[in-house]
Amino acid sequence: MTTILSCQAIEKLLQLYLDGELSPAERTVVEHHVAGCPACRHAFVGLERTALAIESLPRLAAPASLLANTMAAVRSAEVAQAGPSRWQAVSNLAIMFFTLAGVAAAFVSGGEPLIETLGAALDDPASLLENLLALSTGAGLPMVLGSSALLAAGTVAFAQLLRGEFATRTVS
Amino acid sequence: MQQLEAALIEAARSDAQAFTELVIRYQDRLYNYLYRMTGSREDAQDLAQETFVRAYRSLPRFNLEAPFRPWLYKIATNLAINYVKGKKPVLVLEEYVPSRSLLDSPEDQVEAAEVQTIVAAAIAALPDTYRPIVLMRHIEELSYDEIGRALDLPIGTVKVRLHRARAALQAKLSAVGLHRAAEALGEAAETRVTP
Repeated sequence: MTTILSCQAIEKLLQLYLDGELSPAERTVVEHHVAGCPACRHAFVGLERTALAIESLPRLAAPASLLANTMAAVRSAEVAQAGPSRWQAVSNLAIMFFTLAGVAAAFVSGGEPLIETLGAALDDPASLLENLLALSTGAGLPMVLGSSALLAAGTVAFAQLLRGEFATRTVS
Repeated sequence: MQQLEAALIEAARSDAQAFTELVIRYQDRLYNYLYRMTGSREDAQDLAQETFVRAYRSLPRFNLEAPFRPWLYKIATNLAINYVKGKKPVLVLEEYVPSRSLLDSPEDQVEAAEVQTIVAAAIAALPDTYRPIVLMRHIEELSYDEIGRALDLPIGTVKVRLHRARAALQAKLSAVGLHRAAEALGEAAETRVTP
């Protein structure tokens, strides 16, 4: 049995016919209608000519450099994503923080003795380590430890922030 | 095909060599699409490269059960539309490349070159909401479903926009008498649809 559809209904189906989006049964209905209807036939030919005009445009092949450049960019993105330099930077920052922490805490806990110790070291470098040890076992030790812990926590938080930032950038 | 591709994509997530295979597989089509989107070979190359780099970075988040091409074209289309925005429209000067033209004589070849120039310019003049759909359908041969995925549009909207875009192109091409040149092709089409 062949379904009879109006020209208006067929016109809507012509585009789907052209695009291969109809079932075989629907295609048959359209074909039967178009074969016997000059108006719909004319509409379809116009549609088909437009499609053919678009499809007749030449297809350009990618230049040879595209593959090489793309893979170079992909590999450099890979290095940036997993490279050690980022973590090297973070650990350098951590070392810097700890050094500053030690110095700052030493000043807070006993700035004057430390300056004296450093001054003495100019005359007698061998005495530096001995005097610093003596200082650190004095009353300032709890302060040095407390300040270092706080700064260590800050460094970890900063490192996590950096990590998040890098992760966001690499997947965006 | 779908399974083979999924395996390749999965491998490409952690292996640049496997990703090379994907690039080889899609570079021509993607480049051609971006050329039609931008009207410039240089821009097409830059954008194709950027599309692949972004795809590589986002590959771990790609759903292996979804079709790959719409996902790739989504990245490319967004890049192209953002890139073309704010740039002066590029005048497409078509270089005639003998393709599957049915026309043979020198006069006809000149006409075919003119036809290509006019068609390319008409496509380039379409708004950003229509141009990708026309290209994806007619040049890339994506289905409505795939176009919908690439552009985040319901299939109904794809149909409507495609219909309007083709009507606009048809009107423009008829106005310059292009349908006369395409008659030979049209007759072939007419033969195809006749039961």
